Amino acid sequence: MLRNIRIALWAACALPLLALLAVAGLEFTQRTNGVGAYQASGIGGPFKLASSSGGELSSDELKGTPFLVFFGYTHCPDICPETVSDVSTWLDALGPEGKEMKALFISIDPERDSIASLKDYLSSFSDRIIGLTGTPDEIAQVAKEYRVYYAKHPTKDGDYSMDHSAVIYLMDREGKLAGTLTYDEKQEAAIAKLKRLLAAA
Amino acid sequence: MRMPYPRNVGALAKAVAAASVALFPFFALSVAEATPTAQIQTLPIATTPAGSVEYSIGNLHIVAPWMRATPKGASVASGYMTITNRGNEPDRLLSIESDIATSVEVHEMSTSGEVMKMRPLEKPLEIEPGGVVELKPSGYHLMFSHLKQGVNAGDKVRVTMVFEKAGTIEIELPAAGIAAKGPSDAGTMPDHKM
Repeated sequence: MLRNIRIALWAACALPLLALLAVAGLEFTQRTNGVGAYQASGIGGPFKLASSSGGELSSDELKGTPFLVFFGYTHCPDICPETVSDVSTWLDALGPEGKEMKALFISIDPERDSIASLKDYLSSFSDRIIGLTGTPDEIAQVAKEYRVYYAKHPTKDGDYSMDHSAVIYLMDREGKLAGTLTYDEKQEAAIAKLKRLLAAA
Repeated sequence: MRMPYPRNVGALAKAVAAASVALFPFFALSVAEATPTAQIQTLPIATTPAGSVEYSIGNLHIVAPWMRATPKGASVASGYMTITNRGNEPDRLLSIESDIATSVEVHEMSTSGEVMKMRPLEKPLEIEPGGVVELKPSGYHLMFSHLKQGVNAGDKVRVTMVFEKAGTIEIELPAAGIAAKGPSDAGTMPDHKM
């Protein structure tokens, strides 16, 4: 009896350890294998969302086009305007050779972000950034496909802010993940990654 | 830079702190009535080479206040500055007001993994004796909520800050362009338009 308990306890200790090792191993292969591992990540998927440039934009229309995609909301004080403005700067710096690159800003606050408000908001940045929004269900679906976390956080005044993943995904012509950029990425590094994405067949 | 609150604050100190916060408006009012010489300081004391401004009140020194222009239709904005406490006692930022927003609070942005979170501080921002608190992008910042008007590059946004010990100071946050990265961009960089 005591022995069984001991075994059970050891197992209870070892399992999380094994899980941790597995996660670490996965992380390691992703870091070392680069693009191949990104493509195995399963990040990305089909979507069809209302677009700030009119009508809807579907992932089908993006076939053959490299694009970057990030998630945010217009009631965001700091990181979202920073990210949108960084992306604007990068697109600017890429110049004509980056013409075919698309940039998508998907709202994870569909209740407040209408197409009109996205359009207004994005008019302060590069006109190449396309704002996308949809029904809460559509947003939940695309966030799931891109493994993006978002959650409402109520504030004292009855309003709310959004916790959300702040990563920028680089998607290749097949709509597969080719890399990521972070919101504080240095400009040279970001542009090098974007150029690599454009150069890939 | 993050300045943790002292961990060893006793229950008594907490009670005193809570009472002083609760009683502060009455205290401030009575001081204002009793001493007509107590004035709100509004003028910057110096201009640094980078074009940023400095203010002093009591033992507090405020350097390089700035903010960014807001995108069209934005409902929120952030403000930044560095506050140094040259005194021997901690001071705390009790309240902030500005005409451009319904409320202004100190918030902290934090990231865990790739997830970004924004939270108001649960206790007033404290500046330890000899300490420096930086309000900057991706850290502590003044959070302007329910903006009544947008902020354009070149604007100077007036903010009134009430400190527990140093008192009340009115400062101006010069607005830099939307793509600005730091205070040196404030007032010198045009809005990002393409």
